[in-house]
Amino acid sequence: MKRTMTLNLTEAEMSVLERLCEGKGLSKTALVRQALRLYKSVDERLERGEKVFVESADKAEKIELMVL
Amino acid sequence: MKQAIGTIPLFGLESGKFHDAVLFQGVDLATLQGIEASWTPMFDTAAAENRPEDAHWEWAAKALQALQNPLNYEIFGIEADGKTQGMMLVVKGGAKCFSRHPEHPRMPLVYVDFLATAPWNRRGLIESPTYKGVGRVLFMSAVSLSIEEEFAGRVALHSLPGAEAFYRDRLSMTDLGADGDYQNLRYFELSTTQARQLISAWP
Amino acid sequence: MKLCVDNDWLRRQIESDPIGEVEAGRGIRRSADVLNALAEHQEPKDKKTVRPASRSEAALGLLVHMTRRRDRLSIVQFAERVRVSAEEVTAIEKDPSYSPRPRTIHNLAEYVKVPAKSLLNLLPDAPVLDHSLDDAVHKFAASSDDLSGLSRAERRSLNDFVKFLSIYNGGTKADGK
Repeated sequence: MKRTMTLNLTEAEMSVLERLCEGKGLSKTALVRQALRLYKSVDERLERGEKVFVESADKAEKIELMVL
Repeated sequence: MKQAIGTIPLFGLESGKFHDAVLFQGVDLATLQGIEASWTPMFDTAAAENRPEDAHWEWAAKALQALQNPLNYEIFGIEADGKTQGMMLVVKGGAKCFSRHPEHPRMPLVYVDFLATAPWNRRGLIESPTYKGVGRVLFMSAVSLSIEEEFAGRVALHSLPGAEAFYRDRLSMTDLGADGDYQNLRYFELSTTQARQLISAWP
Repeated sequence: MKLCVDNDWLRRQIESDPIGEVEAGRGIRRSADVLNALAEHQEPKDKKTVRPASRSEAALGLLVHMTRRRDRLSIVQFAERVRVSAEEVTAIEKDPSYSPRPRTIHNLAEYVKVPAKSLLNLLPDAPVLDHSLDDAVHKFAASSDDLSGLSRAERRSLNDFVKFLSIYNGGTKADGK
């Protein structure tokens, strides 16, 4: 079963959402769903005590993602 | 928790004709017990003496209960002759669900965590397998889920060495090379264009 | 969910598919493999209650390691005595999540002289029935120190643990220990 909600976003947030939707070929619902899954999977890893890193393209910099 | 999607055909290699099988979404305790009873002994003949006991199934039942309504994955199974002929676990969100394909980098996709057929359907294990088509139907379920999730049919997986030709030639996936982060198995993707072509293919 | 192709399409494709392997991703040989795969993608709050409590000290690996040191055997020598591959012995010692094959468990149990059932309870995917086993594992793990050859205290601890395993009513809840 699916449930519906209203989402209040600022102008800036809405334009980011719309740009992402266009780029990824997803509806707003599908994009929020994907964002939620990703957020959850990163959060899970951190909760398990694992580390999540972001590495710069030239591998010169590696930043640990601490908290979401 | 376990729901029939529909009747699908599998090709019986002995009879030389198609047989009806049922495609399921979800998994229940009986499925797991069936795998233990019919799959495991074929992989390891010693397994018959080491069947899990009641306590194991009590735990498994509890585990399954907590696994209902998952956020990130779906599991599919095919049954015929009262047995599980194959299973597939797909992930639909998280780090593995971004495309590496040059056609559409970082676009969302469905990732196949495992696709396994019953040992009696495996050419690598026995000389005359029972059914042909289990992998094809399971893979098309992943493509269907991808479409339903608005991922345009994009699917990714790590193929086992013996199955590379199937994914490359029969399902026309792109071979993106050996993945050092996954036991050097080759990583394959079905792109948006390839998915569209596959579905409209008419041999 | 609805399939994106019909049965006619499937029949035509399957007919021309070769008879061959189609496996992808992790290997599935028993029900625990399926459950482990699911558990990996499941929410952590459930994980605590449904996942079998992990044998954090990797009890089986430790038991093998200590036994090997007691008998002054290299991994290869030990593997030969137990009639399993050296790779598997290494995996048991190094990887706490590794589940050995039933035959390996059987041979190990024979070598250590404890019931195979008790060893099954040391596996990462074994259900937790009571805490006496966990207590014994903790005690055993705490006593070990990785030096070559076993000290007298370590030898006593290994003996105690093996003795416990040989009387532990593994796999049943009958005695309610």
